Amino acid sequence: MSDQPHLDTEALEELRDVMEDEFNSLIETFITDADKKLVALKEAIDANDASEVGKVSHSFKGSCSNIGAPMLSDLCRQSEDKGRDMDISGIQPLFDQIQAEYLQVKELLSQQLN
Amino acid sequence: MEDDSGSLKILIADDNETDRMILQAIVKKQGHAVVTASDGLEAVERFIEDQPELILLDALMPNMDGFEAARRIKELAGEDLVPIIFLTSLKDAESLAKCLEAGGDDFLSKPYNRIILQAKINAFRRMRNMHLTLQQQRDQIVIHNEHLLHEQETAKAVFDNVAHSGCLDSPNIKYLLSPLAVFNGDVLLAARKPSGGMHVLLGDYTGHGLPAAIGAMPMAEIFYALTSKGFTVEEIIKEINSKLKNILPTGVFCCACMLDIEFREREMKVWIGGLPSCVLYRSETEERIELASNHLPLGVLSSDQFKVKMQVFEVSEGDRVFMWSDGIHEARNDQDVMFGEDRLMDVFDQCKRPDQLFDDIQHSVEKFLGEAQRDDDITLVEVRIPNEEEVEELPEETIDVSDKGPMDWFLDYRLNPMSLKYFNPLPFVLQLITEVPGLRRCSGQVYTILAELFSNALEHGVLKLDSALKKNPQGFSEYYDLRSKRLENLEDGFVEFQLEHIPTDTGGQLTVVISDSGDGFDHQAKIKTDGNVQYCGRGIPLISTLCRSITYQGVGNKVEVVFEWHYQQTGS
Repeated sequence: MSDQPHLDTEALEELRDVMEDEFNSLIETFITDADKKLVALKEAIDANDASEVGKVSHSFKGSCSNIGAPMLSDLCRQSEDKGRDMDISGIQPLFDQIQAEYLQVKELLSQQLN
Repeated sequence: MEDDSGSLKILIADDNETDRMILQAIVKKQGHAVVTASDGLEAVERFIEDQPELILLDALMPNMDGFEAARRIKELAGEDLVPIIFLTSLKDAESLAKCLEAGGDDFLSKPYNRIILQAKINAFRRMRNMHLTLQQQRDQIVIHNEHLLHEQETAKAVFDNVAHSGCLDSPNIKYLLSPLAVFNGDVLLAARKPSGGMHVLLGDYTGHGLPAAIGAMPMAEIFYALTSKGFTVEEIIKEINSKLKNILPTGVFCCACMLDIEFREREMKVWIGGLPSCVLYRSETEERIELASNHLPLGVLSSDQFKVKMQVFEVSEGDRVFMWSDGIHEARNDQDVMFGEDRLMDVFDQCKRPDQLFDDIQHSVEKFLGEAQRDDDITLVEVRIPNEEEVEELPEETIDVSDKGPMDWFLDYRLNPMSLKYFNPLPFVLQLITEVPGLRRCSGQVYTILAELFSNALEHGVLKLDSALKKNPQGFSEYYDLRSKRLENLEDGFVEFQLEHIPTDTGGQLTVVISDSGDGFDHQAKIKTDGNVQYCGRGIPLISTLCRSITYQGVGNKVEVVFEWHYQQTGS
């Protein structure tokens, strides 16, 4: 798992090709959305709402995989599983990992802007 | 609407903006138009408003998830094919299967692969086109089918006018014939002859539908026209055969059975070609006589190859003839066993009451088939020989009679051997006579007179046949065989018609003199015996009642009848 890159540059190049002029807009949209997702995730954990944790994680996981952040996507998958299993008792460490990984990805993405 | 380049309008429904942006870019790059929605409810609304041709649908969305949206959209789409591709990062087989069961046609996993998505869109575009073509062709077929049905209805209406039921409703005829029988190729015709007797024709055309029905029309026309003009059954059958041979394509023909019944003479002639054997059931002896087919069906042989051999029978009151097409024999029950001829003959052998035979046959078939089967492919006819009182007088035709026409004329018409062999002069002579206004409505009576006297002149005068032969059963067919043979070998002899018509104050008077080359008979002696004149055919007493006078002249080979007619009172 640790040999997964933070960013899949190949996938990102593909995206750049597809989006053309809208590439920057896409990255900005992702970042804005991701910030909101993290906030929502934290709230769900604090409220001990396993179902909501599952939903938010699932959604975040999806966009992460599309943008080409495989490790972050996988962390979200784990979080999603916990949520679906209705057991988020020891989820805080996982959340911290997600947050840390996201900051890395965010930094790398802003470097990629055209 | 799809344009020629094959670009589609595609609906992208995903609650994640990032994902939507990516998909939109991929799809637009392929040349398609895009509309978007961010939840299930909006997806359905977009579908209604914008009529997209393909849908990319996220499985999990707020407000209404993808599954429910898919269900509603498919319902709204109805017959049309609007492919739905589910967008999902669900990986388990159960969830993926759920996508397809909800109405999804495919799924696309995240991360979205542009090549795969484009390939899937292409594949579904091909499928949509195919579906559209199918729908168009199906619609065309429906229209054509409706046309065909309408044509059939029109054809049936025309057919019913041409091949009207004639005298099928006579009390001595019972029949079972489905209303659409003509489209199975079955035709039933019956007509009274001008002499009072009856012709009945049952036909079974090969094939089904319109081709089978079409052949029946000229046959019906010929049957009714020639019967009313006084042509013989042999002439009618020959004419029908020749017509059908000319117009029907190879492989299409008509199996048929035709009856010629002379009520007064108590004679019946039968022609059968191709139909299963008919039955003559004698009421007194309860004997069942099989009338087997002895000809090829109509429309097969050319005129010069077509020979007519009638089966001739003496019949009594109460005797019954049963005719059928092969629908009865070939009826199958649910074990796929055929009803067959043996079972049919059994019904006759077990008969307790002849007047129930018709119903017995029907019940026997119904019972054999069981409840599941319909028996509307069955054609069954019973013709009973009626007693004297039952035979209705032919109604006089009420035709507009103007006193303009041939009122004063004379005709001398002599038929020598070749003419006697190969020609029946009665229809022609009758036609001539009925040109007289006022005699048209008496054509039945006139025909009866002419037929009787001509028959006597030919059979007893020229061919020297003795009617005493006809008195016993074996002698009956012997008589007809002898008649054929002698006529075939005829070298000398003649029958001559001398017809004269003059107007009277109240109408007109027709004098018919028929003479033959025979030896005559001692008519003076016969008349003196008693009023019950028994010479020649049984019809002489009838003629006496029809005519003002009937006199034998010379050595008895010349007879003169005088027939009077009167103008009808208007309003009477």
